[in-house]
Amino acid sequence: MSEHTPSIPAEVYFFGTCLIDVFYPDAGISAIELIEREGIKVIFPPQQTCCGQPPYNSGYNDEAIEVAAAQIALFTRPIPVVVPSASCAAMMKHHYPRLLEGHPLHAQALNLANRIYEFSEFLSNTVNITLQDKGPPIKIVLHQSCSARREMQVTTQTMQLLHQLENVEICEPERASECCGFGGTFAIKQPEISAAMGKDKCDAIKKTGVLNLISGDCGCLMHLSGMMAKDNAPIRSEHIASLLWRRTR
Amino acid sequence: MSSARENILQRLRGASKNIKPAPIPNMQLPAMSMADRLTQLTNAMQLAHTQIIDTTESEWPAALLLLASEQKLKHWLISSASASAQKFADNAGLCQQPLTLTRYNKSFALLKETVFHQIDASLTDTAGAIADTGTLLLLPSVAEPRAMSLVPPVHVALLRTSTLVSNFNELIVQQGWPDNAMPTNALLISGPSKTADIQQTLAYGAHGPKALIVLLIHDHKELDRNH
Amino acid sequence: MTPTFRQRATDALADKALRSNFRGAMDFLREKRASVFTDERELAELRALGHQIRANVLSRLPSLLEQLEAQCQKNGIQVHWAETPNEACEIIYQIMHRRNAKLAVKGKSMVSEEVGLNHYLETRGIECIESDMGEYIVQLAEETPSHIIMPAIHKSKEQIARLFEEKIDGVGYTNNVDELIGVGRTILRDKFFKADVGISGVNFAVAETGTLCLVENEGNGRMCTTIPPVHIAITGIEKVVEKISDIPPLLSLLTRSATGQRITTYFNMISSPRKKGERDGPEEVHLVLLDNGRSRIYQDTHLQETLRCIRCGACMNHCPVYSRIGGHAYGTVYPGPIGQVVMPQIEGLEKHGEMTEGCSLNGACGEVCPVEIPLADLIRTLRQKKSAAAIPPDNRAGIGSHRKKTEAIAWMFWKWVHRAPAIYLMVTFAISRLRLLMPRSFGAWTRYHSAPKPAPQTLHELMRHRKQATSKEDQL
Repeated sequence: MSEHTPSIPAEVYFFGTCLIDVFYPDAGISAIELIEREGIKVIFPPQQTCCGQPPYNSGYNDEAIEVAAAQIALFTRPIPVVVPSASCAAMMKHHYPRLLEGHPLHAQALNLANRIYEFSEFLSNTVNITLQDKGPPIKIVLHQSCSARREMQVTTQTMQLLHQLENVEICEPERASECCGFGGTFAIKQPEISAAMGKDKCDAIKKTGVLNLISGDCGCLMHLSGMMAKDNAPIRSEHIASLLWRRTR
Repeated sequence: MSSARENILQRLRGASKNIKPAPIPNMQLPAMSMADRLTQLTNAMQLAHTQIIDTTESEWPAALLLLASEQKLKHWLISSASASAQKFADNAGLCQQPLTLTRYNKSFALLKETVFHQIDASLTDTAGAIADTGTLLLLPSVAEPRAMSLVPPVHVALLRTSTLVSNFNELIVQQGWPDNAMPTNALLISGPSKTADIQQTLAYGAHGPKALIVLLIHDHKELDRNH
Repeated sequence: MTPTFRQRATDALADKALRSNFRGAMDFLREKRASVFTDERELAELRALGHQIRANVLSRLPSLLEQLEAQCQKNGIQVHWAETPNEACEIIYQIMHRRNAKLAVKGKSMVSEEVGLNHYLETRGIECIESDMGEYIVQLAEETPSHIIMPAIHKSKEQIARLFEEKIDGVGYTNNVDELIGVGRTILRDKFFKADVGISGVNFAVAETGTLCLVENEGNGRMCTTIPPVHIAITGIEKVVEKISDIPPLLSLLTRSATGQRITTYFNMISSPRKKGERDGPEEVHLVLLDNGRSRIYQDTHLQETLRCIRCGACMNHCPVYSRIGGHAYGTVYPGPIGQVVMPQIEGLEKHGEMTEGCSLNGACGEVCPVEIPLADLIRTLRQKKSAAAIPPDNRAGIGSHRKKTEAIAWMFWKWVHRAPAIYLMVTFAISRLRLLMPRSFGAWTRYHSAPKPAPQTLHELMRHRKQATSKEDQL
């Protein structure tokens, strides 16, 4: 868990992540709107690409290092970096320092690591945001990713945000803490196991009877919504930033 | 084969080690009052299907005889020399049913047949107990060999509350290990033998005793024994 | 050809009975563990303590092994060292041969599985009977354990009932667990009675006192180490601990993590063979210390963390992959996360590199590990080693043995795209514009998912428009 910055920063960097860039840009915009509404200036370095997690998790460290180094060079000012994905945030916070051990940018990687905030964690802890729910009553299932649970440990912060939405009821599927089976390249390399895990997760979500799936990680969302769609299940999936923005604007 | 030893140690010695020995934090476990120890011991033992019979120094032989006749435990394996075995033997005639007492006074090879196939129950002393987990400490000896608490289908153990400690750490202190040499075989026993190897279904009497019965002799000095 | 990990996993996933046996067992074991770790602070402190104790052992491993050896010998326990599985088997065989032994009873020992002891002895005319109920069932079925703590966890009681009916003379079908255990008890008691040698593993070997500690519930471990005239214990060199006072926290971590028990029925501390005047216990006690690649693991300061393991099995109980494919799909002695870390290191990446792919890096294993082994990190490191480009001269570890040209090229291409913003923007722009022309099929992905739909504009574009809009506003 990050140390809270004592006061609310005037400016933050935003690292959009490659999945949000291509598949969920709306989530990125929503996250930025929410932060800006709190009077914080958001800087989006246009040269950013991907955190480098895919090759890193596949054992291709050299490739990961080059891409990581390119990102590190973009976020140099001593202000927080907000990342709307726990798994990318964990990559930058916990894995960059290890990955770049012995690299000329190691000190910078460490410096960056200390400034990484997962989006919900930032809104809840750093900004201490107050949210006013303007939407109609809905029920949602919140899927907390493994990175959110175990690496970034931001599950309570995420819940704290959602609990502020008084018309939103949160339902917990069975075995909520078990992995959905995405795992990045795992879903491609071991599709059968990944799909078996995904099917169990989808079944558990369907069993709640809830039609809105929310998560702070677009990898899990893409995996689960892709499986649901293949199955013609009428479940709408959304990044938490989109939900928060949609219901409070 | 002696080269294996040298090769292994050489590889280990040659290895770089980034783990520096660090002082081990002393995790303080709370010492329990005697009342708490008794409550905890009883709860833990009941959870593990250990039966407890509360008794006293003077009354335990009678309790044991009652147990023997109630559960039809006729043939007993007892120590060759302990005071408790002698006390049992002295009182055995008072039992409502005739008892056969076999003293473990010769080598296992000579007694093996009897111990495996004829004994209904054994009686042993204990060297102490751990309240936290409901655990008996047995230190098999010349007078009370190892098989006594293992082979008979029922094991009856005499436990004096004065020997009860809160946790395993305290037991090590109580026994003075390692300054006092470790006994040949020291056993922590926390219930009858059991297994859950078939579909996680608990079954008692896997290979050892099917029942563990503790005669709990309340001999401690504190006043809270009435709790 | 032996099937690949992926093939075995796919077969296991299709086996409904197996899936349901594992799902039930894993849910049960997870719940049991959670029920004895209710105080999160105590758990955190205890895990940190366990980590530190085991790390300290590793920092002094060679001297502790020498101390263990000296203390054991002082106590009358004979110590043997084996570099390879074959050496370990031969040592044990020679002891038995000298005693003219024909029947051995064995308590649960994963190291004996690792060295293939049963087979070795069998081919030399010695019968070696597994006496742990789970191991006995597995041996009867001519299978291997599918879990390191509960070997027959892949079988339902009905399957075991049919197995007993089929394989044991005079036993009819019963799915009553007490009756089934009763059958095992009767048969195995006779074996304990007759056995010439008892073989066991070791959970902790205390260097300070020369004490071998065994953790068990059934009493078969005590039988094996008490009744036959000879007791042979076999263990990996990493199982040594420094002091007797290290035992309480490690024991508590082990039993609570493994089966959710605060303690097991028996904790058996053996410090010597039968002493003069004693009436039972083995006349000879032997300790076989097995290396089998452990000293090589020890060379790597990161992978060395593997050796902290106390073999509780919590990592597999909590692994979402193991929970679905079971232990046999891994095709190795040690399955699950610890298996994915241990096996490629002791038997080489060439042979077992693929199993490191069977992990979503979700971290549930590391979260429950009683000695805080970062299993996901170690799996990631092994993936890196198996795909490494640079191959060392002495490559027994199989470095780079799984490097595939196509994969390497794909990642190189990926790198070119992602390290150069201009190319990245071009590619993502193209994807968003061609979204309606995207293929419906992306190999493995679309077998289980509908094809992902890129948004009409990327976040980069939206942010550019936003910036332009604000600067226009500023100008007005």
